[in-house]
Amino acid sequence: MNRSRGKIRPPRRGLATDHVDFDEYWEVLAQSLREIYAKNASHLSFEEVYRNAYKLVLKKHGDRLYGNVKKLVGEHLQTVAVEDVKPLLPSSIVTGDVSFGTATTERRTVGTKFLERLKFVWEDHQLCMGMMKEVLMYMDRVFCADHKIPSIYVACMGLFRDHILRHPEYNIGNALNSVIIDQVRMERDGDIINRATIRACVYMLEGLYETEEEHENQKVYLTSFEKNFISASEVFYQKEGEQLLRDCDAATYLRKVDKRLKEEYSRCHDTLSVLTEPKIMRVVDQKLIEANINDVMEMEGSGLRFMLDNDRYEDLKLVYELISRVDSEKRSLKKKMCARLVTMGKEINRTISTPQASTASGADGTGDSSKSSAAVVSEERVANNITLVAIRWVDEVLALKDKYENIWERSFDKDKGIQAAMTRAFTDFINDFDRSPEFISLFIDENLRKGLKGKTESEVDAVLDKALTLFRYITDKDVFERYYKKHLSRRLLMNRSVSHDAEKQMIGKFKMEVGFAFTGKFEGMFKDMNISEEMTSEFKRASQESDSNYKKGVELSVQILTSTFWPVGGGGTNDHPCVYPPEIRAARDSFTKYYLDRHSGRRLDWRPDMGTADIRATFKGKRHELSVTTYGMVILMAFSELNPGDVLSFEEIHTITSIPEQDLVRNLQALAVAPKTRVLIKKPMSRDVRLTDVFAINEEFSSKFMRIRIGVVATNRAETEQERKDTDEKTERYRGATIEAALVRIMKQRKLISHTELVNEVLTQMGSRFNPDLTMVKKRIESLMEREYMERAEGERQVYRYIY
Amino acid sequence: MGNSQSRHKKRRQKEPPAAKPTKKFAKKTKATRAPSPDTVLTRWFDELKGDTDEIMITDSVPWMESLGVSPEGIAFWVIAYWCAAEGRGAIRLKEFMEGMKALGIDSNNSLRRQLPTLLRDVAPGSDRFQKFYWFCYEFFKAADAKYLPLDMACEMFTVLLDERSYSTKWTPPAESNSSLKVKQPITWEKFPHKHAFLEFLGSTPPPTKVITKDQYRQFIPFNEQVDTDFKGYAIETSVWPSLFDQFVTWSKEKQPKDENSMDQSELP
Repeated sequence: MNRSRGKIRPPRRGLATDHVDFDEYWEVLAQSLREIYAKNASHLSFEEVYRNAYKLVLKKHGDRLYGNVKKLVGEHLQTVAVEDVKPLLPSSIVTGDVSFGTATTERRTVGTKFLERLKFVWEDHQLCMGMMKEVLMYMDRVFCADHKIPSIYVACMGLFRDHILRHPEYNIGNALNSVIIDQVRMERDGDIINRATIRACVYMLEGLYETEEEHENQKVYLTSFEKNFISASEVFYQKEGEQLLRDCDAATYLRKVDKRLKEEYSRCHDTLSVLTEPKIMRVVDQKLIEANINDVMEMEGSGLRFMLDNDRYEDLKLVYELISRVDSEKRSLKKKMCARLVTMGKEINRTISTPQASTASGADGTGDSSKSSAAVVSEERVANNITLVAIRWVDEVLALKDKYENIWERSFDKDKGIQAAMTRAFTDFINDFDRSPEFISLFIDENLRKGLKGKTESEVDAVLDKALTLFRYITDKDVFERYYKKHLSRRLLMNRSVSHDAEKQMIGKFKMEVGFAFTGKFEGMFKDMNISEEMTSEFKRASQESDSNYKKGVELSVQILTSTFWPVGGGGTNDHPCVYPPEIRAARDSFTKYYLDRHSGRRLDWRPDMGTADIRATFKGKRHELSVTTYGMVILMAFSELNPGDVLSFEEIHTITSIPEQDLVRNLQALAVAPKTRVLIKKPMSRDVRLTDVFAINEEFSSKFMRIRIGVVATNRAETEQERKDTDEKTERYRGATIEAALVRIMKQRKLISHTELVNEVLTQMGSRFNPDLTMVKKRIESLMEREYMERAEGERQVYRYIY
Repeated sequence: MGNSQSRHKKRRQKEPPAAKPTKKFAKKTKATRAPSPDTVLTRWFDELKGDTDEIMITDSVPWMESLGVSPEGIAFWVIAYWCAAEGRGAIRLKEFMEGMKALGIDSNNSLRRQLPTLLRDVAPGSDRFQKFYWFCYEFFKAADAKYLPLDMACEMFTVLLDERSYSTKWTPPAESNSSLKVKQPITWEKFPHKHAFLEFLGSTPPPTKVITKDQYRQFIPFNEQVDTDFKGYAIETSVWPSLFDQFVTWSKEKQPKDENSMDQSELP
């Protein structure tokens, strides 16, 4: 036991007691270190050197050793700075004289040489320090750790920083920065540089720290190089931005910027440090995008407008991508794009309404002689014309929408924000045009009457969807409803609809979009049509059973319209006077009796202005079936009693039939003027029907068709000015009532509510139908207060109370 | 009780007549009880009333003269208010008796003594002013009407919204004065918008034919809460009756014009 203990102890004791001469040991050690520097380390005994250092540390000479090593390294580095680095310092850079005197190539070689030398010096230093670190391991472990001082390796890295980079005389660090920046500059200008060397030097800078604590954000690269690099880049890109703006068109500018971004990105990854990437990208973003993108988009002849107008998808994509870098909202792009979109849209509105306005005023001019039928007819011609205009408008708006949708899809990455902005722009210009609800309804009307003929189900669906797209943009949905009702009723009553399936499909789409309240009346109209059909056949059966005399040659087919569903106007027989021939009167009276017997408490008004009649007539021995309006039938019947050759004047017809003058003019126009259906002749012959004209049966009438449809021009689908005024008035009245109903509903529910809240609530509730005018809402509130449905709450004028 | 005051017009009017103006008189009522007060009051009422069983405005002329106040003033309205008169423009016997009893008044003489207090207690700035002002709307509108005719409303604004009216010494202003008065900018008034508003109502074409209850009532807070230069008055979001919105628009349009015309008149 004793022996074994002694086996371990003696060397320790011996060391502990032996006097250690520091200088002696240090001399050996220093010699070894010098050998390392001299690349002669191979013959050194690692064990011996290590033991020397170990002994010194063990004998409490750690601090002196530490100091001496540092001194030795420091002295060595000073020599290196003077002998190796200084000669290669590019003088021009040190003096700051960068661009003058020295050619780029020369500057490049000088710079590269300098960088290479530095790289060499640094790598040598690293290598030697690595070896020394090994040798002095015990000092690091014991002395440095105990005294909480940086390891010798770290300390010597600091020495490199201080003696080489921050050399008090030569300022090598600054020179290094300038050289790298200069090299980068050359590369930006298109030269080829030695990236690897720069990379090595950057590694060096990244491996050095401001202090021995080696904080990550204290890298010399960050503290000394990067700042300079960024500010130099700022200057560069500032200039480049100005120059590009001057020299390039928008597309080139965008491409250049895109290229720069890619370059800087790869430079950070290949040449400099990835740490710099976000910062340098920011510089490019600021100087090239943020500062100039608005100017670029505004560029005459190549800017955003040009790109949009010419579907430059690639360029637009670039605009989008670049703007996204600086503004996630892409405000300026949205604003400029929408402005263009609205301008285009308003342009459509303008070109569409201008020619129409001139013809309309022309019609007004002739309308002075209000008795003249010319006015009526030309007004109708305008109206028919308007249908075409409406379809053109819809087509153009849809084309515009398709165009922008394409751009949105292909260039704007289907950005939600941009989509919303586009929707707003469409809403803007579509609602800016007061005829858009009518036009959209006309578009649907035209398709449901003709356009969809022979189309497959999916094609029909596509057309209807288009219409629906536009419908969505309309804020005044109630106005649209009014027009749609009118057009639908015409289709149903005149039996002009291509397919009831398509009609129902369209209504279904509306229902999905805005709900039952909107489509209820449309559906009611369809229901009426079905009921009428049943009613007609039942009536026929009933009459045949009860009355043997029934077969009088008049076959009645009725359409019973619920007046609240149909846009039939005020109603009442007085509005539409007409003296029917006795046979017709009998049929009418018998149906009236039949109907009122079955439905007591209802009122039945007859509308001769909306019906049609088929009459058989023989011209020159040939039988024809004439399909005419009810009025037309009444007029023709007036002639049936006459002898051949007898004539009736306009006044006489008017007296016999009591048909309102305007309707009479229209119908006579169809019967006596339209060339293919001229069953009456008019004297004098002229295009227009005048009050002084005289009419007779056209005995010479002939047609190759058995069945002839004599349409009245009045089937115009667009509105005339007068009708439009009426519609507007109706809309106003209807809106007032709707707002009032909403107000009462809200008050009933809330009892007590502030003015602002109430108004907002009404606006939300009405939103899907129309955009109520604020003053209108207020007037309605006041009117309800007057009628004591509500009042101001006591002491709080801004609050209303429901009175119940 | 105060709460239910405006809830329902009818209920409000059925409330017991407004309490005595001051307590002093309440005690006096109990003291003077000698001859049956009902008979005294009935007899007095019969002297005052006209052909009908009510004291109508026309009947009030000699009465007011006997009380020593101008018949064109508001004294009769104030008396009607204290009697809580329900009838349109007239006081009924029952109202008269209950009102006078509550006030402790049994003759022209005692009425004449108390009249200044009665007037003062409903003057602008007093607690009762609003009640009185609202009362006048109901008192002057025709039984089946919902609104006040414009000319009558203007008269009422002119008189009711003037502190000088609430004095027994008030006399109708001379004709020539009235036209001048409109142009005087009166800034110290309790109702700074009154003159401009009257001018607005009198403009052609008239902005309205009638004054609704809401417009009538809201005019008081409008005067209290809105600056004469309409700073901060947002027509878009205002909760005032829209007639006031129109008034503000009208005034704003008019103001610069006025300055121009003044400048021009000063030029020569």
